Amino acid sequence: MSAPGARRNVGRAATFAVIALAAVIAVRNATVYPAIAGYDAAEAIEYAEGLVRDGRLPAGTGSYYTPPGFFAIGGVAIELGELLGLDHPERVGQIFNALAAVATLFLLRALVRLLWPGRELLHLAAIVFFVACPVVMKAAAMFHPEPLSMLLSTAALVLAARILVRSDYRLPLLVGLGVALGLAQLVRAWTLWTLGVVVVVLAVAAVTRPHERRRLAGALATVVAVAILVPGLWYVHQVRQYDSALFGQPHPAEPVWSRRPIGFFVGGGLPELVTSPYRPSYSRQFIPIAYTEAWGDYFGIWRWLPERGTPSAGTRRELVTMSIVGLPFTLVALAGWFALLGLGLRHPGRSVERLLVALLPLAALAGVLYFGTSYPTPDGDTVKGSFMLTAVPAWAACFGFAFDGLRTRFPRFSTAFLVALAVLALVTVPFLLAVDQL
Amino acid sequence: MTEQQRPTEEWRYVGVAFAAVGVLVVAQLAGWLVYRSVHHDPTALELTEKCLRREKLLTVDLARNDPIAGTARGGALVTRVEENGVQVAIATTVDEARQLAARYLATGRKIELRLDVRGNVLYVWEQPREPSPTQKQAMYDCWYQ
Repeated sequence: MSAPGARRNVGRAATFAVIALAAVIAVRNATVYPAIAGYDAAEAIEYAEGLVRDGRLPAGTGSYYTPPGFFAIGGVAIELGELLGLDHPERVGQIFNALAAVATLFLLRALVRLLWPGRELLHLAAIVFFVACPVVMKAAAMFHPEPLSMLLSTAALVLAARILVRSDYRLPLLVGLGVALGLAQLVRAWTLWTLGVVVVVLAVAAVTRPHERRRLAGALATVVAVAILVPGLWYVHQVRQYDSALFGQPHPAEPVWSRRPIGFFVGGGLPELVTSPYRPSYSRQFIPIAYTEAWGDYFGIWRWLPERGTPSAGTRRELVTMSIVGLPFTLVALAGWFALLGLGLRHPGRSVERLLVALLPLAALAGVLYFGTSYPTPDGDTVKGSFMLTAVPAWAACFGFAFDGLRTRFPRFSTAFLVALAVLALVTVPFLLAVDQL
Repeated sequence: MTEQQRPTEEWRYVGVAFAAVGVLVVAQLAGWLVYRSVHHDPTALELTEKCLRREKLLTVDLARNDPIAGTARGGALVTRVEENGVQVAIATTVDEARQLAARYLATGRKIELRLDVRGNVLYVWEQPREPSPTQKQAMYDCWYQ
């Protein structure tokens, strides 16, 4: 049996090797993937160009409800791309997103090291999950705000975890956390749930740590004040213009709970989830669309285009493979999530910082379910996987936790588990590579 | 905390969580088997009609006067989008859709401008010009096959 120290070194080396491979794939994808094929690409490019060239926000059209954080950076990136004489100047924005995804990987490593110090194989498993889950690489190749919101949301989780783990309540750290949460809201409204989770966890810590209660209450007030102050002007502008700070779109007059049938919430999409995991299969079921968006290409933006009919036989094989490969990853991540939620509920004061990764998937699921229910569309368009991108680092941590638990509970199979993880991850690699023509 | 000092309680929770996931998987499979035995999925025609009525608030009728659309195995319907009438014929296979399209093209009534084939579904527009992007999009939003 190898010494724990040697095992840790191997785990660390493997983690960095996976991060390096992911960086190469992400940057390569950004230079290959046609930006116009991504989600709402035309709107995003128009928003970024209008913002930087003319200093104007979309007036009630396109992505007017999306904050301008990414589009300001994306517009500058397009200008830079034009200065460089690129045929597709938006490529610079795509490369920015690829780098944001790679930076998130480093933040994820920092997060799991803070939550589970010294458990290198747990860290490795979390990193592998994050890289293998295609929703990350798909978003990272696009000209879209999601990767930047994921980066800022994860930065906030790391800062919050550091504050709680080290009981370090210095003002710069607290302001940094508030700024990260505020900037995240200036990129995508989905990150409001990260703010909610951080507030809840700090409040739980204040209740369960009597000796630090005053400092935690002060920390909470500081973080919330800064997190509201930073995006404040944007919300004021939206309320003045559209009477809604977030998403002032019309929706059916029926009550929220009756806008979707019960099948939307509990349907598993079987057997199409495995046999034909693409649109329009199970278009009125939440779970299989969210799953296929995470592990495959439900809407046809990565491997096929719905305008050309159903995917080709080769693409269908690839989508079916990904649907199968995603199952063990998802089930193990679910187990880790349940376990962390159980631990958090039974012993909220013990390792309260782990609640950050236990509560984020819950908040993300609730948010996307609410959105998908409030705005029902016949093709499931309001259930895009990228909407939950900010929760992927938390899902990765849950996966790492359960994988390490399994490995430690059954030490004789530890090597087999690691080999299985490596094989599953390798199977996903071809799908992670973007194609230049869909 | 080192690996040896790790609390065993943590693994109890992980074990229970794996059991809970197993129960969920079994429940999902059992639910599917029961659902499959008692429920029959609505046809593409029913889904299209419901979507056009409910989501797009359009008036929908069965296509009765078109001999070609009338032979589509998945059924056919007519509606009107932004003052432009459209006939929707739903084939059950891509081959059938191709044959229907060939029959339409053989009529020679400037049909190539008005005919749009998307997967198994054929759209034949009334006005003798290409439909506008918003007209097309309204129909694509209710595309089932």
